[in-house]
Amino acid sequence: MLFNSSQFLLFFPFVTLLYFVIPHRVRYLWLLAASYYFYMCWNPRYALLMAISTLITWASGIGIEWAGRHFPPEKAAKWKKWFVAGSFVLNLGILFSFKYLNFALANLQRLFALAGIALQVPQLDLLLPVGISFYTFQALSYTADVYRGDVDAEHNVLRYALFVSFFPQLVAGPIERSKNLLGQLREYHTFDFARAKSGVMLMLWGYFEKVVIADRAAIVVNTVFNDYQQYSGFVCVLAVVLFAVQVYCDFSGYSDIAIGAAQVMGFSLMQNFRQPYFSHTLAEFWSRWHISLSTWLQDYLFEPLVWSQWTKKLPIVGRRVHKPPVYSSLVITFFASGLWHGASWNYIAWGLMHGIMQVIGKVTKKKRRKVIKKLHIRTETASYRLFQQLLVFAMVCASYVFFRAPSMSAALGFFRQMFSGFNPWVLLDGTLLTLGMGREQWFVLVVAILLLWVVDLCHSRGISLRSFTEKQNTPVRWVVYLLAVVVLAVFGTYGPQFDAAQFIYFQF
Amino acid sequence: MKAWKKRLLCTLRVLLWAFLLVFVLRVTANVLCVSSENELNRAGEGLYRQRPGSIDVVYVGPSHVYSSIIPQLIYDEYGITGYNFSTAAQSLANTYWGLREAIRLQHPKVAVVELICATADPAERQAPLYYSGMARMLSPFSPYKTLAVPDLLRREAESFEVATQVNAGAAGKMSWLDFWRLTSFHTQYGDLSARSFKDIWGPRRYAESWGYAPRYEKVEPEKPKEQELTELNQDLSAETLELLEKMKHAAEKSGTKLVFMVAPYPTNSREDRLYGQLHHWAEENGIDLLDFNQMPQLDIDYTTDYWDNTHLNYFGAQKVSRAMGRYLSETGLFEDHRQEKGFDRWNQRAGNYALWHQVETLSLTAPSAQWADTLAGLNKDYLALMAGTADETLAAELNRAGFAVQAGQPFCALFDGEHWTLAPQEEMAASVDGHRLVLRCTKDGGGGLTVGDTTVQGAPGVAVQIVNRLTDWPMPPVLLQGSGAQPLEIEEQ
Repeated sequence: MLFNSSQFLLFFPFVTLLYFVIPHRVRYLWLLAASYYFYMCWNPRYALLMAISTLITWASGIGIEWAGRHFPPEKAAKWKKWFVAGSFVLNLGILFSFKYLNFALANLQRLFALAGIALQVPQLDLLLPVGISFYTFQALSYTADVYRGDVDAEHNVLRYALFVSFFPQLVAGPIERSKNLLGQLREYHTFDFARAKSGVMLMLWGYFEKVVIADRAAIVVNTVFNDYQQYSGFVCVLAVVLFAVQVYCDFSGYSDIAIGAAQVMGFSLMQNFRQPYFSHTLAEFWSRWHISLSTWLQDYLFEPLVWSQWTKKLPIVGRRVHKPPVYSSLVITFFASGLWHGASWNYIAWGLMHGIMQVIGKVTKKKRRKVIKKLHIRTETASYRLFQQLLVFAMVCASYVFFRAPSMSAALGFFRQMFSGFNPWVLLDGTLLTLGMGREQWFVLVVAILLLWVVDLCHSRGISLRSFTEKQNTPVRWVVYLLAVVVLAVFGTYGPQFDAAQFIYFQF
Repeated sequence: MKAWKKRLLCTLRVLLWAFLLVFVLRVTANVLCVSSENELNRAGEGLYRQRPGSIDVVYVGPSHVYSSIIPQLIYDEYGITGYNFSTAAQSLANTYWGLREAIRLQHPKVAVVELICATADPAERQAPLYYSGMARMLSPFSPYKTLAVPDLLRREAESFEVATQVNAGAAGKMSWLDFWRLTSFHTQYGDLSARSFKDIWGPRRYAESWGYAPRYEKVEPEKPKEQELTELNQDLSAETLELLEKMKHAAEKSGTKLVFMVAPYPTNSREDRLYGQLHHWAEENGIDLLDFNQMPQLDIDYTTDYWDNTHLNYFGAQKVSRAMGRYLSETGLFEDHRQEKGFDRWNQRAGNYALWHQVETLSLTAPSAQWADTLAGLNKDYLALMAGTADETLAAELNRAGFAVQAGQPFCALFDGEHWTLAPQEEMAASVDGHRLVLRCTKDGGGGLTVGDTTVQGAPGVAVQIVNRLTDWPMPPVLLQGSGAQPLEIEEQ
């Protein structure tokens, strides 16, 4: 069930209504049933996988707690490690089998072919379970948190199952941490009109990002990327820029709907995006983009790597200057991030590109500062900051070519087309009207992007438009609410003319 | 504040909010639906505006209904009121729900159901409108809308399964959002015009013609393509038979006489086979089936009576309507309302209908005197534009009819539904109230005249165009010269 599907528009009010009507002690069971139903709408069989993952991580938590109680610290530490390792191996094993096995087998075949050995490796006909990367990471974070002592093990397996499967963030995040969400599942929530209104407003904004901007931008992006040999120069540049808008609105829109839906029911989910395209450095970009994954990777991969003995043996490290191996850890982390997004070399290339760009940024930081000083460039000016933002945006856009293209060869081909000619006039000579959208659709898209930019600008300066609206008089507020619904209903990309477009991050 | 007061206020606020939301969405939907194509899919909607019990006969079905039956003609000749409750292409299940709704609204003496939908090939995946058109037209407050949507969704999903087995590339499934006007037509904001905001309470256009949507073009239909007989399409499906039974029971229950009809169109042998089975079923169940394909006495002329491959134009529709009126009057179920009180609108329309008839049957090559009289007699149903230079003969004819035209002097004149205005403007509007006039005349510096973006060939002469503002179909423009007229040959500049 997609958030932008007609079923969800019935499902969510029904679940919420009943949630507040039934007694508190059974509410989590109702949410659990609703969450599994929500997930099973895609493929009922894959709910079993989620249940297995849930049981493994739940048992690992119980096991870690049991070891801590029954063994002296040294022995307990060993047991705990075994439980953690067991949980990680089994969960990542499931993830590998469904997401990466075919990719690994295909590459193995290629490797043998390079060595002159013709090896026929069978490809397994496995459908990628929706959201497997999200719930697996969320479940693993629980194991790690219990191991670190950040949270106590949850004894109620059904409540824990709800933590893994909580429907607003089940299939595309935010990847919640047990210390934030698990406790909330025990809390008693009363219906709060103001909170619900605020949540609905956030959901409407999420829908706006998704159905008005992302799905509309997707029409042009798909037209160009699916037939990129036919386009060149600025058309390709425009397609990449629009893909940047699309992927941001798509994912940020999903997160906003998820956070808003949870808020209506009284739950507070973590923020997943913070105006990422206003970043001045790539590192800052990653602290604003898909925050729940970035912090997950930082907490459970990057930092352990930095402090592990293993990475110190790698060649690209800061050992010579007696610093922790940040660079190699960074590259490895972004390699993992790319791989997390998909079992394909172009996702890996996308991740590595970000990792390497950040390493280059760090390596050249001092030299760049010297150059800036020599040239007397004032870094505190608005123009310099805008330049930085544009530079980061350009780098992110360049990496998106790998992210969006169906294969590595297509990505390289796309780059070739992009630099094959200088033709800025295509933006004005009517070429844009041949990319799948008419004049009115372009107008709506441009106005919507401008609105998005204004809203993000306000948010980046600490102005909450939701709070601003809520402070207005009733007639003004109601006009805003009605207008929001009408804009969505009229300018949304849905209905018989369009298929309900999947959220991009569902595939991960 | 006491708790009960607080709760009451909260409930009132929610109710007011819901009311406002429905209101705003409905008005938005109505504004967006006003484009000729969309409105055609709502041709039957005016049935909701009719006084309950004032309609003797409802005609239910797809576009073959609204293009074949002229209720006003039947009233004019037999005093029987009727309404075409129809939308474009629709599944038989949609027709069934349309029938239920029409019976609920009017309790008519007779319900006529058009049966082309019963011959649809289950293997063919149809456009979304086919699965939702009639249900979409039903009022959101109708109990049958609530029942129809899940039923039609289920049937659509089943038909999707069948179609995908045969054709893997069949389009995706539908959702309940496809059964609402706003969510279906929301992409039409590019078609907005001034007229879109005039009928915000719903389309009046077809309500004025009782659901009839006339077309005047004359197109000779192509020969129908033969279809291969398969197990799926060679016999009436179980679903069709089930729906026919349900229609029969619904009509019986409300005391309405059910009649089936088949509007004339060129059929292939598979369709003939199915119509044969329908005849058999109707006979077995004691239901009359008026198969106009099997009535040579109608004298349907392929060269003059169609506007496309399967739909009758105004001239063909007259023939079918007369035959329908004759049949209905022979049932003996109806009283003649023409002299009764409460049928003023019908009687007023009867006068208009005479004008409609006069205008819309006016030959493009009729004498200029006849054109001058027709132009002078136009009423509020029409817009017209005249532009050019009249010679002595033509000026005399126009002046005889009441115009004040000087021979040899270029002029523009616009009829806006009330008055003819000789145009002082340099340019006459291309549209009035959103109704399109193909002609647009511009005086040039030399005193000549340009019509639209085209140059009138064969000038001097007076270019004329009439538009029926109810149906919005512009008649082909003509050029009046001397005592004659001819279709206006226009050439792109």
